[in-house]
Amino acid sequence: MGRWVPPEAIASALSGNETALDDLITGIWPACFRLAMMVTGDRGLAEDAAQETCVAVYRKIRSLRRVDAFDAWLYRIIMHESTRVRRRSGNVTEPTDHITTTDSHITLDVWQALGELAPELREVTVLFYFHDLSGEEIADALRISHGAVRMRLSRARDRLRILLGDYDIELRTGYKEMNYAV
Amino acid sequence: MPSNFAEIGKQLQTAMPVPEFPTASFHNRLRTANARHRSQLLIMSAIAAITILGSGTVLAAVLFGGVRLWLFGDKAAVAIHSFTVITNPNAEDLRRVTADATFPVVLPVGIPKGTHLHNLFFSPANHPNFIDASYEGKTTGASTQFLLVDASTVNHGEAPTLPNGQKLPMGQVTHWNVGKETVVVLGPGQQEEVKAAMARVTPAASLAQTLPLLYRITVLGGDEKLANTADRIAPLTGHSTLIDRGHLSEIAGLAQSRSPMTVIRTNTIDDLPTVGGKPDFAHAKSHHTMETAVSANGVRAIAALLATRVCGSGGKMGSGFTCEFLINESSGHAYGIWVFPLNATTPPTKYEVDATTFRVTRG
Repeated sequence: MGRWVPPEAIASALSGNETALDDLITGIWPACFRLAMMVTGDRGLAEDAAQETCVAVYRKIRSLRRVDAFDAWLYRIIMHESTRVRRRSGNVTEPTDHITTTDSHITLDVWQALGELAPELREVTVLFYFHDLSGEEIADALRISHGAVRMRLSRARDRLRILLGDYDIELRTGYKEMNYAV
Repeated sequence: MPSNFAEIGKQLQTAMPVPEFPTASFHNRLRTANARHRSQLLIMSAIAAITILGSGTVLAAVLFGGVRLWLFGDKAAVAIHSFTVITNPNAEDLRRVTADATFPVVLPVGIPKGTHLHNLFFSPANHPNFIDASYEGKTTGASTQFLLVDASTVNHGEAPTLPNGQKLPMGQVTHWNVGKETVVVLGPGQQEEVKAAMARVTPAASLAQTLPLLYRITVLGGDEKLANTADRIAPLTGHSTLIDRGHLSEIAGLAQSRSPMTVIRTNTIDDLPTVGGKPDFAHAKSHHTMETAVSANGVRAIAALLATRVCGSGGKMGSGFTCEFLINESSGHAYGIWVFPLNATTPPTKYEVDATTFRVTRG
């Protein structure tokens, strides 16, 4: 809990404090944008998805009963919005935006490899490797089965090994380490 | 340099430049989402009471189109497929709907004072043979719904059996005829006074008696007590709109883009599908009419008044305002704006905002 903003900020927004809600929205914005960017690979789509996520949070946060449900709820919204804007745009699969030019080759290649993955493989990769979500949490965020998460992650890993073959890069496989029983 | 894929990805993510929070765009999106939600809620509330008559009503409607009514003793079934709903209808709306109807419409009379006609639901859109008038008065405790139907279109007898073998469910009603109109009230009879009063009036007289039950102002949120007060103090000339805190939060974005504040009062559902016998609004084919509630300059006048902090700072998103506004756009020279504090015991304060310079003065 508390991946996005401190639990106290969520509690305060849930209690109906309007200023706290404003702060919460501006607080989650950077992380929403970054995740959407990683998932969609496009700056315009990421802004679109992140804004729609903020609107949904603003309108519906009062329907949330518990502070500790916020993280999972927000992941569900942002993944849903990212998928929606991507589909609406005609399924952009390759990254159209580059990261900063000062980045190292390996970083640029990881970014490029990510863009080579099919959208559904990219989603599980980003959530598993970059957000440290467990299989259960990914299944919940994407509203898919545990089996589907495992299968997609395995396919993504196979593809990444090929795409990043020039590097001696470590790809964690540990489902069991993540306490994920399928 | 890390050679761990997860670490590289996390670094990449953290180093990613993030654009500034797009406040104006966020407000535009919020406004659109709120409008869509409100309009869906209104449609659902309009249809909810009728569908109490039976969960299969909408399923049946697909077969029959529009709205169809079956009467059998004190039971009725209604099938709904397409319809138009006007929220907070004004005099012009009511005159048009009753004039276009296929029958001389006698509207309910003898409705308690303090009650408002808050929804007008009719079908078909151009020449209604079915009108549902919903009255509500939270302060008077009155909440009634009358179905006014062209008597020649009412089906008498048991409701039909559908091709899937399901019998169209029927619910208990009270009904009577006035001229060429069949009046149906949901639930057992307690409308003897209204029934007697309707028997004594002409369609024109019933319309005249109903006009005072309509808001003169456009109501954008706000509770009923406040709406009643605003309706009472609004000038007789020009267009007046009551704006609640939710809508006030949209003012900054609208003023910046020089846009008017719009409202969707009229929604038409052309095709309402069902899932498991229940209305599936998400896949309904519909269209709506967008109307201007406050002109672009009126919005700027409100923004000018908000900038004086008469209503608090509003916070970063504009959601922290501490009052609600009534704006009157009758004169070309100035806008009259009444500020209602959330504490209902305090009377409203009137301000005038110059239509050219947007200078604020106490009215």
